[in-house]
Amino acid sequence: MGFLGKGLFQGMAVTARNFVGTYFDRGTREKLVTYQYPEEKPPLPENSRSFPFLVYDGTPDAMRCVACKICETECPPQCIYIVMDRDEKGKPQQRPKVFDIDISVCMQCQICVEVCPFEAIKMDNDYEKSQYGRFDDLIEHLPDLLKSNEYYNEIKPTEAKAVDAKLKAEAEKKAKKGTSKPAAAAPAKPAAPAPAPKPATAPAGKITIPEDAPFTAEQRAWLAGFLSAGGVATSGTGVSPVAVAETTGETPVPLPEATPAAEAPAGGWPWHDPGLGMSQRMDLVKAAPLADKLMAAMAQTDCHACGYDCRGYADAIAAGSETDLSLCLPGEAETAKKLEELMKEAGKL
Amino acid sequence: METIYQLIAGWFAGKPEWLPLAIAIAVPILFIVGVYPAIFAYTTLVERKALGRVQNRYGPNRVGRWGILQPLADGLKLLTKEDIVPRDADKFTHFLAPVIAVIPSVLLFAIVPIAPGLVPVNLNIGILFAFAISTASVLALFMGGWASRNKFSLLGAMRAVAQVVSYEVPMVLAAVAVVMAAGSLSTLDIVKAQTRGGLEIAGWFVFQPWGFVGFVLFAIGAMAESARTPFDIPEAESEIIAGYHTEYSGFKFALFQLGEYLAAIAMAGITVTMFLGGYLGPGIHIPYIGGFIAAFWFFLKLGCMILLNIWIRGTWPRVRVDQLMGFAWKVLLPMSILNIAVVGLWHFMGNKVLAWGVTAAILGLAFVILAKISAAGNIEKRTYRYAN
Amino acid sequence: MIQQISPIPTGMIETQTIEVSIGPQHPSTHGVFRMDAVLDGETVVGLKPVMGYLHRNHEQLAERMTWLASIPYTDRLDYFNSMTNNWALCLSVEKLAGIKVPERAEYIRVIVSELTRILNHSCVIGFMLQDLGAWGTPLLYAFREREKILDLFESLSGARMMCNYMRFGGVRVDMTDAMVAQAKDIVAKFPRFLDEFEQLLSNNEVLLARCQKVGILPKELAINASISGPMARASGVDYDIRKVDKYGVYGRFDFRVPLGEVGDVYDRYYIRVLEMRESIKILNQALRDLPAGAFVAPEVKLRNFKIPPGDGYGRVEAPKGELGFYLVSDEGGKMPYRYHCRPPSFINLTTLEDMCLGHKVADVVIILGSVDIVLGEVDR
Ligand code: SF4
Ligand code: SF4
Repeated sequence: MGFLGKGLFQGMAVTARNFVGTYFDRGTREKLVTYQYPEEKPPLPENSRSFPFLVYDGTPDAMRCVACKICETECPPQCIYIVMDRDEKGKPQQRPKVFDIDISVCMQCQICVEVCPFEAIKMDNDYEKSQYGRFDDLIEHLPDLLKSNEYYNEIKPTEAKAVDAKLKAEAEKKAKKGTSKPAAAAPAKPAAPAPAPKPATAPAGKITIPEDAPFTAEQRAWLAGFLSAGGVATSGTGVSPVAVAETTGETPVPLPEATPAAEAPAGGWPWHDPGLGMSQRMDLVKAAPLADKLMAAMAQTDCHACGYDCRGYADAIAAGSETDLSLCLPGEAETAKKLEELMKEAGKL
Repeated sequence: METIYQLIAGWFAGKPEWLPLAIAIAVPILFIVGVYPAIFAYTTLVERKALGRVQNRYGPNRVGRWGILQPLADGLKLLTKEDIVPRDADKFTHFLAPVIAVIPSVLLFAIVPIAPGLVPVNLNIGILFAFAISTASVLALFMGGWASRNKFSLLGAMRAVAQVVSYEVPMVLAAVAVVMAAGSLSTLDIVKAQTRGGLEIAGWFVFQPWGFVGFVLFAIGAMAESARTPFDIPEAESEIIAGYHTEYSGFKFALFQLGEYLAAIAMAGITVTMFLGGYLGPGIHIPYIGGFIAAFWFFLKLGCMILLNIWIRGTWPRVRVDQLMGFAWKVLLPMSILNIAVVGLWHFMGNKVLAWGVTAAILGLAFVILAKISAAGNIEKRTYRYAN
Repeated sequence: MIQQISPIPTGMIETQTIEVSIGPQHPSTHGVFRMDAVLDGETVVGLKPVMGYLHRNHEQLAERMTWLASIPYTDRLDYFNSMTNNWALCLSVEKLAGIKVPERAEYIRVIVSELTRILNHSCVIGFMLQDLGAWGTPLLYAFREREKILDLFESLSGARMMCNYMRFGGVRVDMTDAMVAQAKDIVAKFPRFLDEFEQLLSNNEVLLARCQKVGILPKELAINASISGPMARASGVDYDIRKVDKYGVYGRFDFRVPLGEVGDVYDRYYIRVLEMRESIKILNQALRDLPAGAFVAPEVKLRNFKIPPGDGYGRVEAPKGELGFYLVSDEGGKMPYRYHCRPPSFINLTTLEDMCLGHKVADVVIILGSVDIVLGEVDR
């Protein structure tokens, strides 16, 4: 083996082979891997992700998002901005009024999708998002973000099917629970046992809509429809494996609850109803022990933003194992203030 | 030029004396400034396409079908670009350099024959003229590098000077062998000399051992002169950004490119003339169309040389500046001197078959020895061990 | 072919050195990196690397967000190898929190990491040859193969480069049979590409002349400067964390660690070629043995994931060297109290000056290329 230039010519043979090879590479993309973009587009695998969008069932009004703000807190670059919708009386409406995602900041990490307990936010795969403006054009507002469940089924069939099946199962379970164990206070209403534990282990409280709850007939109808669509307050005990498992359709493995929530007492928790305003909830617990008072101050979505459900968080605060009073995201400052107030009243702060 | 003059002088009987002469001068000039820049334009396209294919890409294919209008788009883009002159640059020299870069390259074409008797100027010192002119291009490179007031430009300019001056030597010596064999400095005569002995193709110098060595030496020298990969160190983009034309933009940059490519094409043309039989090829003696066939052969060979250049560019890495100089002085120079001696031997040996064998053996041996010497202690074959 | 010219002896000719700022905008600094070089003619007599142009506050950011939220940020460290970056962080957190990773997840991690390694190594060689002036041909061949691996990553994780694939206690998405088949196909075809690559490069005299005896990093210096990865192994240091720590399931695979003798650019090039061949061996075994089961530890929560107070350091053999995360968790444990990243390219870069002195400008860029840096990781 000498160094007579043999290697140089070997190299030229390789390049010549590749030169010729590209002309005989029709379609196999073995050699000529380029996709000539605007005309040709590579097929996107199902898992492919671009930016998040919000899923709705049927009409855009029936969006799954309940404005629990978990995604807003968990988003690593903090590019989500949510304002909860409230009616004129200031009562929370369990849906976002403003939901903005700044796609110039979004890093397409999918963490919002994984943490959302309500299957409300999903990853799109539309990557053609270039805009001429640098500021407003790059912020996606609620109407831009809302896409139908059919669209979701279209872009991610397997994943969407698993999600649909899961939601349906939950809804059925809820319905069954509602009939077999009718809530004493509200027999005529479609019982809304929202936090039906989806992995069976962790027991949780349930929502009842009391007869005396200040609902108009309209509101009740809306709430019922909303609940049966699986849109609200599903318990989120098994968030992580579910989020992960949904693509493969594996059964999520139940998680041990951090602080097992207490079983609802016979009388139920009439205040455990996100439809009630803060003052009404506080009225209901006037004579109740501290833990119940604290619970009533929560936003009642059982969204697990705090790491517990509403009951668990209240118990933890009452027991002194949790000192952070600002963990209830959907409750916003109102809850935090109330909690502080209550704790001060009880002389614990 | 003379051919054209003789051809048309008859038609202009009675017209002013200077008219046929003027036409005879104008036609080759128009040819040179018209055809060769067009070849340049399409060389860039072919180069980009071929490099693309070599690298498993498509290459330009957006402007016109198969990217056929790409050179036009490039030209327009460069023309409309802002002309930036560094604040501290020597403005006049900075302006002059690209212009000077083009002139010698264009002049080189004056002595490249494209068909029997059809050469812009049949200089009897053609080859000498070519070398004299081609070296002048280094002046432009140095002017550009120096005037830009940029350290990278300066480095590039210094490299260019060192490189061109070094490679001139083996190149001239390689040409000397051809001149000895042909017995003339005129390019037309050199081409004619390659038909000697009634051999059509075997007479080309490249098929003689000394001619082959000369061809390789000359081709390497030509690549180095026109700063093509693997000898593109004056503008090595990964090291010194763009060398002497770092600070040029717009049309000035285009002029540098033009000069460089024209020089490369002209050098390829001279290589073809000297070693590959110029316009020689089957069918050039057919009456009337023989001239066109000859021109076809010439441009075919020219195209092959350009493609070879592109192919090499797509394959080999660049050598280092000291290796480049060492290669010129330690390998190419001894080989070219030996080659001259071998041509003499060839000339005086009667039996050409025997001469072929003997000269091939001498040159082959010399190459192996030189390669071994230059490789010794510098490059080695390595074996690797694995942990336990 | 030719020996290196020694700098002009002083006293013979009056010469002046010039100081050249190579970078931060330069075609071959692999990003915004700057070298202040002092040149005597073409010879480098002084060189100072200047870093920090791409500093993004990675560590501080991570200390302000949850453990989970740091994972997508690690993708951006060494953006060629997001998979191994993910693994390094996950490994550290798992160590700290005492999480056991299911078998299948470990295998999937090995598969994606080794794919990342061959992807990185082939591209690094391509980039190095780009610096050598080979007009991108080897680089584009490497990209051609990388494309196939990235396709697999896309179908697996949803993104080509910013995979964000691993989670504490496993991986985010399971590898379906189709993907396993795809991976097998890639692995089966890769040796052919390697042969082609070697044919194009390994015997090329120009490459040999340019790379051999250039940028020598002696073994002692490599150890003292805590160089890791292929660079250390090219200098003859037998140190591969896959063998030393046997993290994950690396203990189960049969592979060898190639070692260089000289420690020059050529060794660094060739060690990478050999490592790719070893990686293919590992991949073949891992794809063969891939067990069924869970792909993520069920007990790990995504949100409100808390780690009891403590500290831990986890490291993996990233393609560029030892990538480790030192994490401290304090009361509360929702986010790291201290988060420190040990980026291999940054530490490997510290010897740049020692390797470059006395060589030509042209060598500086290939030495830099052979160190294999990604500025996202150097500057963090
Ligand atoms: S986590 Fe889901 S439900 Fe909660 S605000 Fe975000 S998208 Fe809406
Ligand atoms: S994908 Fe990531 S960055 Fe984008 S909105 Fe969701 S959490 Fe935020």
